[in-house]
Amino acid sequence: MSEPILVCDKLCKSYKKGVPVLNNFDFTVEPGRIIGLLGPNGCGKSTLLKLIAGLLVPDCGEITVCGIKRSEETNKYISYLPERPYFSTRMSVDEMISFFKEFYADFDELIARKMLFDLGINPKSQVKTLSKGTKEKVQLILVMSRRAKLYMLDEPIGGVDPAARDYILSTIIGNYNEEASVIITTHLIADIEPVLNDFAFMYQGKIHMSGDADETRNTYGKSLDQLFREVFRC
Amino acid sequence: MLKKCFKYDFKSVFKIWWIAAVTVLGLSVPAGIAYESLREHFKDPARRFIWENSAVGAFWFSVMAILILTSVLVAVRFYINFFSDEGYLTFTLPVKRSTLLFSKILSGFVFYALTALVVVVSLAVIGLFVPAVGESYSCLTAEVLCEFILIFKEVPLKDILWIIAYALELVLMAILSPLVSTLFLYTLITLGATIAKRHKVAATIGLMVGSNYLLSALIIPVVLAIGLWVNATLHLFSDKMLGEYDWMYFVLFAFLFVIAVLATVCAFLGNVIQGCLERKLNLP
Amino acid sequence: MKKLISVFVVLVLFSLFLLPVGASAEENQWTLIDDGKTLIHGFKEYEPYNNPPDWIYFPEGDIYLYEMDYSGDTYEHEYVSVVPSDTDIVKLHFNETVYVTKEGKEKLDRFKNGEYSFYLLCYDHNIVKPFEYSDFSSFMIEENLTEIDVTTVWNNDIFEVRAFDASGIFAHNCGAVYRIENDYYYVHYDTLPNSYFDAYGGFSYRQGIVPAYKLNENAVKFVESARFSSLARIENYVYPEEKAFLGEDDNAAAAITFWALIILFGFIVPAVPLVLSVIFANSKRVINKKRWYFLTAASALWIISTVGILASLYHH
Repeated sequence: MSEPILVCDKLCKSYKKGVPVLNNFDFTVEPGRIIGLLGPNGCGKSTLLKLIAGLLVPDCGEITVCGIKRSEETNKYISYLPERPYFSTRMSVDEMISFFKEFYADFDELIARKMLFDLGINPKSQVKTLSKGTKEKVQLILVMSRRAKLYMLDEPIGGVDPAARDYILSTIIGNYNEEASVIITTHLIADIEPVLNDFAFMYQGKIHMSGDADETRNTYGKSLDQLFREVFRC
Repeated sequence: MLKKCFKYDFKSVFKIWWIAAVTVLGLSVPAGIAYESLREHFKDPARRFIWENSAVGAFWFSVMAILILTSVLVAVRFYINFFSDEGYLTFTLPVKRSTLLFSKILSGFVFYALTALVVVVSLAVIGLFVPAVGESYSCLTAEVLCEFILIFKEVPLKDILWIIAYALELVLMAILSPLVSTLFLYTLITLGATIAKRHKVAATIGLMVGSNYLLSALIIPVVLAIGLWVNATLHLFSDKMLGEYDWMYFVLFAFLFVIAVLATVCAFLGNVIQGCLERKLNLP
Repeated sequence: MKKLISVFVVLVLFSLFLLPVGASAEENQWTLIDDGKTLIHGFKEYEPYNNPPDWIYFPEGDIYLYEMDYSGDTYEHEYVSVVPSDTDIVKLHFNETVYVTKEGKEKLDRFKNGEYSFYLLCYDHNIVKPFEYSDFSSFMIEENLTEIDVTTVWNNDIFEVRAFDASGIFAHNCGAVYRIENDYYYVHYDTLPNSYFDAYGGFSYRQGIVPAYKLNENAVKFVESARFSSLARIENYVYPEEKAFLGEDDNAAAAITFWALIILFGFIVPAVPLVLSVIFANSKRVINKKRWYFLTAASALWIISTVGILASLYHH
């Protein structure tokens, strides 16, 4: 049995005193799985991804990526797509490709250029001239063009049109390394459900419910979306 | 990784900075002509007045502009790359925070040095147009070089070592001084971005204004303390100092003291910034 | 951590209290008003004093010269001469006018009336020997009263007897000892009529025969000893503004200032980052500990350079 790609052990994080976002949070990701991290707004999904990406420091607990304690070195194994547009607006798409190529040894330029070509995006255009949807596609293309061990996509399909959503999902499935894992956070469960291997419902800083997506659907006789609505009924 | 980071930091600022540099260098030519033309071409005082003031005025304005622009570009690059949405890209790179910070410090320092160089070169260009100054350049260079060779031939080895030691200390002070101001600027930006959840730029500006007042208030007692100490030292040691006193060691250690103070301030500010980047990163 | 900060604050305050407290409390602004009829200094008022012309301004030690804004007839700026031991009597340095407070006027009036405070035997200009009234009065023994011709003595050894007022500032030659061959004769000026003096109050040697006391053996020994055991009465003009930083011309104040500042800025201040950096470098919460060692090294260099400065100053 290969070692897990990600282990989060008793993670705690709070932004204000006495208001924990993550509370003794345990989470493990095995290789080769696409996991949906699902939950209502403010349950800590983005916070968890930021902790794994190194953008936040946990108050307690430990994070291990590919057996290595979380540090700048583990960034080599993680390909992170945040919720917000984060590319430099003064650079062109070509320059962003060069940037990724320089800093990430696992970046595959050919795949990136092919995907850009498929989408009809001119690599010479400046990022600031692209529409919001196109920007998100470009970001996703560059993130998925890496041969990383762990892909973390924070709300990858929120705010884009349905056609783009389909493209993004097909890109995720078509391009990720099968020995790698993907964590996707979203509240558009119905759209993402078809691609998921595993799921985890998060609530108030803890895993409320998790498991294999297919098995759960068979057990409960419902889609994950329906199950989510039942569990988190207001 | 430092080389890569520095390359992108440099390119990012250089994209805009080079325009200002070319402007300054370009305006130095009409400014130089304006000085020269005073004597020969414009007999009419009114035309001379207009030509001189517009050309020379434009040149000095461009010098002020590049000095301000460099600080603004360096500060903006630091802020955007670390504390705006671009921070998500920056801090997920497989690069240590210390390397990212050092790259910013280095690029800031390089641009301050380049700006100084541009200003010096532009003044030299103006000087070429003024005959007396232009002629003296060539004589000065040759004379200075001859002097240097003579010094190193005739001065005893022990004294040459002292000169080298002092020169090293002066170089260190010249490097550390702009480094302190760069780090101070970065610290204020970091603290402003860390403390304020929303209006980070406003918080940074507030800190800059406040720190200006604080430094102005602190400078008076510090200068007074230095004056008191120097007075007291001269009073206590005047007999010794007026006699055969070897000043070399005192000057050496006094310079070292200044270097140590500057280095401590740099190290402290660097640690503050890095501590905030590690533990208090407050991305949007 | 809180204890460390409290200790540091206490040390800083302690060092600051060691510093001498500013310049002397006395205001050093002197102003003439009412066309020179009144001299003001702080809360004190002085009025001019009409001293006899033969009085000699002869204080010992520091005489402080305070620059005034007043421009006299001849000089751009007048100075006020002040003897610190008695500030009731002052003098304008260049035009020589004496100004006194009420107390100063009383002292000088008493002096004018012949109340002398102490005497100095003055051998050569300012080479003086103090002597008691009992010794002085031994100069004037009635049996030894005689006459001498002063037209021949002005070039001989002369020992002037200077009497001082209570402040020790002004002196009046009340007499002089003249050496004629192997004998000494004392002429007491105070008992002589005005005709024996010139317009400036100085003794006139053209008067010829004057009464004089021949000195006895003991008196002669005393006078001769003045030749060898006199000391210079030295006046030292001082510009107080130059001393304002240290308050008084005092090695102790300079030493305290020197050590207080060097201890504060050379040892205590760098000790703070040194200690903090060592604490943080060993703290579990700190992610990158190595960076704190740069601060440790810089602070240590600060302290070492301070030691170097002290060594270079005290090295023999």
